[in-house]
Amino acid sequence: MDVVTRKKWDRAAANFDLMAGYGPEKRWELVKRAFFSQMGEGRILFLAVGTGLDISFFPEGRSIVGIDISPRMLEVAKPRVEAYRGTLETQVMDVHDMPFDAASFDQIFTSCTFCSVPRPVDGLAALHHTLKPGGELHMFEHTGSRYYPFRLMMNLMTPLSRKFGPEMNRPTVENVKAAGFELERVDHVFLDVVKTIHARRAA
Amino acid sequence: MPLKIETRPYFVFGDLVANVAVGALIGAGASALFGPGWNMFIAMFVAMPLGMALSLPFAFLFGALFGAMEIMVPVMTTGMLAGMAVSMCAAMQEISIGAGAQLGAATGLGVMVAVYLANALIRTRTSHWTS
Repeated sequence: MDVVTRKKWDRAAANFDLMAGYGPEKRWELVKRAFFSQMGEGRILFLAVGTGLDISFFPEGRSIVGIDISPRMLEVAKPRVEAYRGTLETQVMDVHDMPFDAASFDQIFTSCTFCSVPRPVDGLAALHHTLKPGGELHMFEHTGSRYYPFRLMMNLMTPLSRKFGPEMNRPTVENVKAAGFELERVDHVFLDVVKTIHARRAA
Repeated sequence: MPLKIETRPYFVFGDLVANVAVGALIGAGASALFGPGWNMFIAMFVAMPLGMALSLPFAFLFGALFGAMEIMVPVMTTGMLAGMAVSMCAAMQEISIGAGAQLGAATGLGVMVAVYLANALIRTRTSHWTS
């Protein structure tokens, strides 16, 4: 377990909804509803649950295992987890140390997760391992930008932002490919910064 | 192919207020801090990171109401560019705080329009760019 990352998100848990619970969720509501509507009937892994803000966008009746590195985040998420009309089991877990068997999930969803995972390619490789051959990876993430002045600004801000939260300049699409996934589609939500990434483990 | 652009009034209003307000504040601050005694390029290199850093708390404040990266990216860009523009002007000739605020606000408006156009172009091209 990465204790540094766990403590960082434990500290953020109490005020997380104050920062992210209204404006960002309202702004992304339509995109997230469409994004999570791709959840199918099979076994689904969702990371990171956080305070459970995304749960209201999940379709009903799915079978989902949700993980998060922060126990305090999951405490805040508890009412939202309990309100979900389907099977949603949450566990405190580091993506680098997942105990799941190989090829045990049909789909994996992430939401603003890989801006914070300390070793992103290793984390994505761990997801690749737990995904069934032909299984789908769907990610809603923010990444760095390739355009000036946004790239300059995000590169300058990352040393500060990583102290209390996410990194702002991650090359997550390249990381997905580096972890062995077959990239299927990238849809930009805001500039080339907020995006949905759709990939697959080779059949 | 239709351009994908933010049209919801609440968020357009929020983007406008955030960028114009932060541009005006950074512009006013830069006009007070820098003057004709400064070398123009040194003023610019000091004001850019300073404007960006000072805009961070406002990005969080407005972000809680209007969006995350959709506020943070343009507002901090506004901070950086308003700091740059006003400090360079102030280094060339004395400008009042009010004039600095006006120039900063105009920079904020320009950044917002530029980000909307860039966003429309990038989103319309969707999956062709993959990083």
